[in-house]
Amino acid sequence: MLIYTIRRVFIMIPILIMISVVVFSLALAMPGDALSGQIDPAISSPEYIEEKREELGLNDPVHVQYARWATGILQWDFGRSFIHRMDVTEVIGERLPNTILLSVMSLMITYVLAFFMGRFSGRNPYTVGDYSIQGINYLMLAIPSFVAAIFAIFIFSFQLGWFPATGSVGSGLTPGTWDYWMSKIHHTALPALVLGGLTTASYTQFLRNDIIENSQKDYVRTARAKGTPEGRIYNKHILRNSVIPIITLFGFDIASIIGGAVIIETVFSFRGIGELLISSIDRRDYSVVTAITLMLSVATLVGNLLADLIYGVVDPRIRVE
Amino acid sequence: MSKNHALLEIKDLHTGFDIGGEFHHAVKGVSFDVNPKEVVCVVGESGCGKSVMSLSVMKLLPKHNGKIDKGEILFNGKNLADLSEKEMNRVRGKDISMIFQEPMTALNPVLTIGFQLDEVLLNHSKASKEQVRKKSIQLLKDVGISRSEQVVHEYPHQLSGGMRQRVMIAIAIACEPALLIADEPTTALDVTVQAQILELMKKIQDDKGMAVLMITHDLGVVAEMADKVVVMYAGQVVEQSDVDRIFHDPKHPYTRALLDSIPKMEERVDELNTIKGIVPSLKNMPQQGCRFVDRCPSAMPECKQIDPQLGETNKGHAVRCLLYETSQPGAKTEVRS
Repeated sequence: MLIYTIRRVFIMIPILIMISVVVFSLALAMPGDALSGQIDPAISSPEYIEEKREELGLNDPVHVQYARWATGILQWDFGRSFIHRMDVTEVIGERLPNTILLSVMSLMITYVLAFFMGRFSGRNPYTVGDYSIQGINYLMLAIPSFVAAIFAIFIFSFQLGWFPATGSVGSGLTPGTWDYWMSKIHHTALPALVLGGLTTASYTQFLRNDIIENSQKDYVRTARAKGTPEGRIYNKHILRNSVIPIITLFGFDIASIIGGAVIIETVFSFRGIGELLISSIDRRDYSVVTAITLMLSVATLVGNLLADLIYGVVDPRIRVE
Repeated sequence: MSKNHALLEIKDLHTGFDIGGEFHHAVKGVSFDVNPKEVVCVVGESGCGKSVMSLSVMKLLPKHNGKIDKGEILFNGKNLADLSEKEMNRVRGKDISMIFQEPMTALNPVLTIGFQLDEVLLNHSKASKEQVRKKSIQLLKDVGISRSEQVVHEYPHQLSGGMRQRVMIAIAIACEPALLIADEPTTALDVTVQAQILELMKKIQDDKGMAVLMITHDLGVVAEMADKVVVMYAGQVVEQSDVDRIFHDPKHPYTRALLDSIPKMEERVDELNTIKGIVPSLKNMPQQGCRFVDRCPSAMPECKQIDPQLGETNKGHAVRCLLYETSQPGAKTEVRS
């Protein structure tokens, strides 16, 4: 298991190098460059622009620029954000806790909802309850997240006043205090609910279909022939088998924990990674864009690795010696 | 309970499936007894209803469309057909247990052998987990698994088909049931392993004094194991007798044809004997007359009109064929059905 993990981590290195090349090339291919976001060509002389370009190394050959960028990353130096006028690590570090809180809360909501709905539907397929659950799920899947977010803000923030409509924390609170964290959770609850609710459909459907499929398997008949009660057959025999395909989805979720939710964060003006990515692209803040993209790629790779390792834990057939 | 009671009495059992809103019988009026310590083999081609019959006894038919429609399944005088699911769970695995055809899929792939063996013991006793585990290890030894201490921690995919079937047998005999139903237990195994498994089953049957209801299409297995043979065709019993008479004095044309289709050592032939055609499907079952008529070498015109009855030609030998007077409607010798 350990050797397998180490081998998998080593395989990730060439993949990461390739990803970094792609990310860098894509950034280069975007219109404008780091300089054009900072100066106004209308009031700057071409000589000045040229001088600045030379100074920032933007006139160097591409491979030199890549090497400089990559060397920086290896030293945990992602460059400076031109917009925020801070180190990129600092900009991201400020946003990351918010996004992780949002993602973890929404995933919890998804898992809990999907587990109970999927298990109910799987045990009672083709009943009124099952059809209602499927109907609700498909409805939530069909609603675009920005529509759901706006409705949620309208109902829960404006009409009922249960949750704040925007932001990620109340003002005037000292970071680290109890009140500060409660305010954070309070601000995160509504976007998490919308985000979590909308994504239950795939989990519920996966779990439901897998439970139905497994309930017709031979081993279930064996368990019944042993006199095992129905509830135990579902909870011990079928569920253990039905969580296996769900783990693939779980791997993707790990990446999304860091990636955040672009649309939801924007609608709620939630200071998270997704919102940062969009605004940085908008303002040509290259160093931030490349850093986030790279971070997401690493998270996806790590997520897949974790999913593969968890497979081994739940499915003895693919357990690696 | 009186001594002359059979252990299992199946009386006029009708079982079927709801297919597209229509109910079709897969088992239509099957009756026979299994006495204590007796080995009864049910023989027939694929699709003759023998598996459905055995699942009916355990009430393990597919829930969404399978149903026992009519008839009684008396086990020690108690009608299993009337029992609730909860009451049935007390019978399954304890008084009656079952082994299936496909050992590769019959065990849960993500649970250990030990867990799956412990489970049947825990379902039916109040023993502690440690006691149960000890018993499980002993049971695995009893079915010829020598590394049983390790095997309890292993998963099904680590065992061969023959080993898995041994585990299934261990599960089946764990609570010392009075009746073991074996639905083609050796069909999926290699020939050499088949012989070992049959031998094991025979030994256990002798040691524990169980009755065995064996479902098979392999007449070799029948010759090896059976005391009594029930030949089924298209959901009905067509002949039933002790094993000697089935092999030496088969009465029904279908039984004869089955026996003829066994290749014989002393004859060299280019083409093996087969029974032409296939068992009619549930939807195409003839509504009137003998169900074997289209494939029968001795078919007569009246076979298409008259339903033959299962009648006793001599004591303990019943046959359902109009060639025999006992099968004519209204004959006195009719076996209850």
